[in-house]
Amino acid sequence: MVRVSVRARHVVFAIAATIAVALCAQPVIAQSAVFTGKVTSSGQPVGGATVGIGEFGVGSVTSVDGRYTFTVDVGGRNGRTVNVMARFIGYKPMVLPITLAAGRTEKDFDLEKDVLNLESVVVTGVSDATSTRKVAFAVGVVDAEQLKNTPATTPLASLAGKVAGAAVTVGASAQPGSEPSIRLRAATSLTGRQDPLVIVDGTITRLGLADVNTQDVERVEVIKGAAASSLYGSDAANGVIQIFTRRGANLAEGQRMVTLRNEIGSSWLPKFLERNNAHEFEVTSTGAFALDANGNRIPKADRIADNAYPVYYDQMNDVFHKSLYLTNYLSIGERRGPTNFSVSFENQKETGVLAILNGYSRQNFRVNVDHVLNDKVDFSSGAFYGRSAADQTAEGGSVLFGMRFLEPNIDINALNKDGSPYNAVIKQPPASGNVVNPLYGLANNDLTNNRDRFSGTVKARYRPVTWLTAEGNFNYDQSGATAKSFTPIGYLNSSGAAGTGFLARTNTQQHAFNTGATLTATRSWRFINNTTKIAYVYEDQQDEQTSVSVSQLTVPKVTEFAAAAVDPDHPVRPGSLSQTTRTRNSFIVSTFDMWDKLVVDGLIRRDESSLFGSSQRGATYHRASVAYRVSEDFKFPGVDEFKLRASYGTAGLRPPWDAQYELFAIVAGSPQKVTLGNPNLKPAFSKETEVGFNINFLRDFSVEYSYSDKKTSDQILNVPVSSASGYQNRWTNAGTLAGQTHELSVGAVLFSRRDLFWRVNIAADRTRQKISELTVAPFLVGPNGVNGGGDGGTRIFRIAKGEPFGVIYGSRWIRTAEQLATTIAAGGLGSTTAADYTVNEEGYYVLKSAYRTVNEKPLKFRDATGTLFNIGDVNPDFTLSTSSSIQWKGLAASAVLQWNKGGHVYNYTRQWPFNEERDAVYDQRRKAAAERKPAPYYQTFYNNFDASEYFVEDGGYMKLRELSVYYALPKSLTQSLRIADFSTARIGVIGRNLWTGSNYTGYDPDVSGPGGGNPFAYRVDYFTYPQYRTVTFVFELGY
Amino acid sequence: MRTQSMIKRLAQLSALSISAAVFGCGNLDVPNPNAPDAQRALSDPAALEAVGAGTLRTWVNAWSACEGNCVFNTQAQSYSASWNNFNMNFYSSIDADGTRNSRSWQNNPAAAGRTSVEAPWTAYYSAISSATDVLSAIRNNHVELSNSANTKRLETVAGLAQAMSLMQVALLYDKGYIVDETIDIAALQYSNRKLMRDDVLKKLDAVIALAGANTFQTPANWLNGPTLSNVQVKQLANTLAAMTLAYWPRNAAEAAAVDWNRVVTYASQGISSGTAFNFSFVGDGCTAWCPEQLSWMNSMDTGRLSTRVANMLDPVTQRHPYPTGGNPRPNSADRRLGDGSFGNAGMVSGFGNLPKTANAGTDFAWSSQAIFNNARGSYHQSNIAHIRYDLTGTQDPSGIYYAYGPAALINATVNDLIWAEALIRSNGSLGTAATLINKTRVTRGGLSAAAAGDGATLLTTRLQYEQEVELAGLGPIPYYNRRRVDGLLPGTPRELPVPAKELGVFGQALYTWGGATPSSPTPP
Repeated sequence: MVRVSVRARHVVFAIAATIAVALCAQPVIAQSAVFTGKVTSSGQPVGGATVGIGEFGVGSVTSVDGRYTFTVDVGGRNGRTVNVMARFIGYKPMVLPITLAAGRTEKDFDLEKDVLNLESVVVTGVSDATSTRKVAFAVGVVDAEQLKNTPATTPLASLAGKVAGAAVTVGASAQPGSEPSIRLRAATSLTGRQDPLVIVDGTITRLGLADVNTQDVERVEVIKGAAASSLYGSDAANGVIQIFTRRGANLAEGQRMVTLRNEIGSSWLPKFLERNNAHEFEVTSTGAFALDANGNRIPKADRIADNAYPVYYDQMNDVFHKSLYLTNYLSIGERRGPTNFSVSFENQKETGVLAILNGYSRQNFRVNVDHVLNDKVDFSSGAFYGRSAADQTAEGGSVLFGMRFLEPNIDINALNKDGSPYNAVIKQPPASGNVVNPLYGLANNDLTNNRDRFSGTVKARYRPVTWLTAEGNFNYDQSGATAKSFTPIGYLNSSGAAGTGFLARTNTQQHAFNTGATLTATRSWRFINNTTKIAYVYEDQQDEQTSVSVSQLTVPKVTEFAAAAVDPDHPVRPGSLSQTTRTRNSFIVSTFDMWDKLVVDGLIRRDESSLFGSSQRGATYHRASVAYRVSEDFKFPGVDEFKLRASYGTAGLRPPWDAQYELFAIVAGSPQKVTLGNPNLKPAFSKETEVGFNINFLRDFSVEYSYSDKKTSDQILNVPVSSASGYQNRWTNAGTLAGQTHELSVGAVLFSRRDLFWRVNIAADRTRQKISELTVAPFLVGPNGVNGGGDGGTRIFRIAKGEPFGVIYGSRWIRTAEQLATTIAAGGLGSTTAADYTVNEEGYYVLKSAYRTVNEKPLKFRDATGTLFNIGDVNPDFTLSTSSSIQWKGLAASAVLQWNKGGHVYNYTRQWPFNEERDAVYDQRRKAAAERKPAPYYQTFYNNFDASEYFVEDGGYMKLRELSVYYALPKSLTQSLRIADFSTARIGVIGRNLWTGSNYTGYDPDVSGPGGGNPFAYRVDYFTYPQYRTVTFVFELGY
Repeated sequence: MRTQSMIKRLAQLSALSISAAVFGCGNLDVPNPNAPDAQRALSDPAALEAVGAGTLRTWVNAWSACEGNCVFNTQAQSYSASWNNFNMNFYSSIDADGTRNSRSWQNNPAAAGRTSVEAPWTAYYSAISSATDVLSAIRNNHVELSNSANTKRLETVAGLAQAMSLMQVALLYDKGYIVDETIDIAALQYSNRKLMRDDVLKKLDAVIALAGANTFQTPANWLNGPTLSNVQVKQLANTLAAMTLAYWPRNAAEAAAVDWNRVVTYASQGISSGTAFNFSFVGDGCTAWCPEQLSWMNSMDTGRLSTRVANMLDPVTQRHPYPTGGNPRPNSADRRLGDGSFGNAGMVSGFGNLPKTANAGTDFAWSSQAIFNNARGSYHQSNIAHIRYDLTGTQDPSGIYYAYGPAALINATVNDLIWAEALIRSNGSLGTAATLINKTRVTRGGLSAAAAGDGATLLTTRLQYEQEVELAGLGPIPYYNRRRVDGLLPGTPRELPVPAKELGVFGQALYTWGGATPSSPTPP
């Protein structure tokens, strides 16, 4: 291994040195052929198109009027026929054979629009830039055209509903400034992360994308599993998303493009939760609570909640409010001679829907520059700086949690005794001990999260000969975050006890870079074109975290540590964390393109990582793919292109940072065993076979189908060990997760006329996943963070061999005669006579003698195995999304509609307040008197906070994720402004998360578990910040 | 040209940066600077001493945790709470037939209630393992600290922590692993609770001998404040040995078979003998030192004294079970309750307290508020709160209300009352027993003195009264006291099974205790 790495370093050095030397080289032109002409489409000039001869590596970019000129050194190639290609994004490339001869040759190109992106070029997972027609696996592409009308706050969110096989959901929260979660095809990890590897302009980005804006994105490419992502090795089993930002590269020669975009509007919560508006206590003749001698409420004998409260307050309306959404975006792009660049600035403000909080604001700057030094050398560089500030509430914390326990008679706008706003002392015995005034918390608890992000890229390419390219890159990514939490002295709990204050600050600094060198050779022999790339990649990441907290302050309103008490009972608590990750990777990939119809591709990659166990430092991955363009041999009526493809590849998942180590936690200065080390820990190993086809027909239609069969073995699991060892767990490789996905993408241009254009894309997928092997005892996991979290928390998702991944286990209630008989047979009921039980109005069996009495209770189902059963499955039957864009004269509209059919959500947000009688089902006033159930009846469903089928809900939904309508201002109007010659001037209205159709009772069925542990497999609703609706107005100018 | 030159330089710089970065590739053998491994933790003398000190903290936190203990003590109807935190509501609720037959330990990996079974096992074995590591380093690997006295101090304390943790396994679980530095943990087998108990006594005897043979004082940070001399360690080991014998029985029949003479021997040398002391520590808000049970149950708005005990303190006003309309303010002859007043007028709206008078109780207070949800059983309600460890007297968040400040573990009274019980049960000196009872009955409670002439039966009643009133909140002691006299409600489990998590590691069948089978049979 060492020998390989040393050799690799030498290779890289040689490349880099060669680049440096080559910078001095100057082209010498002896006998020249000058190519010139015009590129048009439907008679209109196409600026920014590239025209050139690929095999010579020469060409140029058209000017605004479509003109191009480039020169070729004819040398000894006089009379040879070469292919001159013209291409531009959004158009089908055109090739003209031209005989090479000294002197001037004029050729014009008329390009045809490629509205379905059937001929776009992709670079992700392939040996070199390749037309999608010749890629042997599925690559999802989302271009700026699909992003520009409804840009999401982060690029990942923009993928929702646009790529088959890509599931996008809220991450740990929908709080402004949060990042969504994404999973590509079936899950690869039983307990770990599912998010793909993300690369932005060559920077391997593990520091999140929450701070990156979508307006800068020019294109996103998505490969979804090992069959395509083997090129990225041990961190790519979850697929790879590659994001390319604007560089001005698509502008016409000499063109400058300025874009100004302003968006302003409002966000609000489209749905409030229902609550219990009735109570089970005696009332006086005036409707007030009757009180006993101690001043406590007196429960009614029947315990039925059917009395009205003496007064009601609309607390949901007080806590959730309409808020601001604002974006200002300015970009300037230019191409002039050998240089193109793009500079942009974005300002974003999103207040969110919680009252009092300021929400999230962000300012981003980006500059990208490309420069062609000469025919042999060019380089690119880019820099991004973003800063953001978030004024937040704790997820699952007192605000969103506590307000679920409010009785409706509590005035949360009342004043405290000292006259300050939002009365904190709202506890009403025997009401909940969990209740807090959310407004008091929002007003007095400060939780801020400020981040700075910088990333920079440098890439140089050197072509010593036309068929060989050497490339070196250095990509740097830095994130700095400061999280601050402040609770003032005297902060009141709901009983009125005044706290001593709290102050905590956590600073996190993360620095990462990846650098590498590649050699790419492209050769042609008769009917074979070959592209071979060898590469070396080095990754290095340093994470540093320091934290300080104090639990007693001495000075009011001072939010710095100077106010901390010097008190041994309330010490200052420091903490720090330092993590270094290093990875060395090398690969070779080779693609053979034969007869322009058969593509065969193969690669091998070797990764060595500090994350693997010390005895398992290396892992090898490989891929073999083939694509056959059937339509080149067999012509089918109406079929423009028919491609069959198959790919098999392997990729990995790296273990968590500290998984390999034997860990002692240091608590109060004393080491204590936590995790048993594992020097043999390997990365998880994912094997994927992908087969599929692409059919383009009748010029305006395309169908892409893929079937993926994934198996990820060596699952990285933190399994329990015997407590006798003193350790709690050990990370080990133990299990295989299998998944199959069917994906279908359909594109159609329904109308393409001069004044009317209508494009529809459909993306559908269906995934099934199963645990095919497990070498440790079955266990339950997730969701993280519920009821204390970690190992002590509630666990409801079962991991067992043969079990689908994502099934919920919990209690059932007797609802059928068969269940009743089974339960009696298992000894689960007091009476063994079935006739002693009856079905009540809600469909549950109850004891006949207790029916319609205060003692009526549902009965828990039991069989010979006990009371634990499969009660739900979070996996949807299928998902289907349609994105559509229509343009009619100056009007343009686009929409994304997503349908998730089926899939359960476990609703803890309902279950916990159930124990405090706060759920709407307790309110019996709408029922006939005889059918009313007592509060203890519903209490039974709480089930000790164990999972129960009562709280498993259909999480299926149909959602209008995006809708935008734009109107292009008439030229006459924009010209009258006399500011500039606007190429774009339009106004519009955008709706995000505009409508949701669902039977789900919570805020929104598109939820994920707390802590972001595994939002797709641990699909639970747990007091997290809900998704909200946004409607904005847009004004956009481009010139 | 100038621009070209600059660009060229930039490109050259890029190339050099790339090559420099590649050449800067670091070693893949990255150490973990954040936490030590076993080699670092157990071979360095200073680290080894820290590991040994940590065993005391682990035991203290397990003994003081609400997870486990709050369930035991609400099951024992010492404390009461209907919150389901720590599974208190589920395990302490009473079925319609007055039993707890449906409330066996939820010993399966999916049950929220599994944590009550799991937490003590995990915590005590963590302490046992670390203590064993320390003893192995000293006894097997001959690691020496800065001097031999410190080595002996560490050896003694590690031995104490190992024994007192094994004691808890023997008292709480039907079986467990005997772990020490002489045993290969790869070949561990379960030992029944009787074998566990006997092994604990053997280990405590060894600690008593070690503490007697050496002189030392533990550093203040080992208990976050209080220190222990070798004499006190010896006394504590004796008390623990007495506790091991006295608290081990799962029912009255097993209690009758205890060697109570041996209990007398141990208790007479325990922490209430000679210079008496309370074994205690200082809480830090649960960052590292956590008096969790005392915090929950000495807060008037979260926990209450069960009406079963409140009724003993004032049978007239504090009716049991909790009546409709609640119990009025008390007027107890016992000074530990007095008139139930507490705190100040500013607390009334939040806590329903009676502002403190001259007749305020020292340990208990009255609150008008019925803080629990009646739908979960009105029997959870009580108007009496335990405030003995709220040294601020005002539910101040800088005190026990938020888990700060001095916190009790095992008071000298524990030893006195075991000693007294052993004397009574072994037909020993009733006069001495009465004297021991009176140390709190008279001195703290202001009640009439017990006397030998009361006879064994009345003395036992008065002894049990003191147990209920004095020992509330001290780990699981109230639970141990109630099960020994068959005082738990029918169906209440009397011991814990091996946790499902541990059984799962070895693929063993799940099982539980409670209901018709509240405990394992008495081992032969």
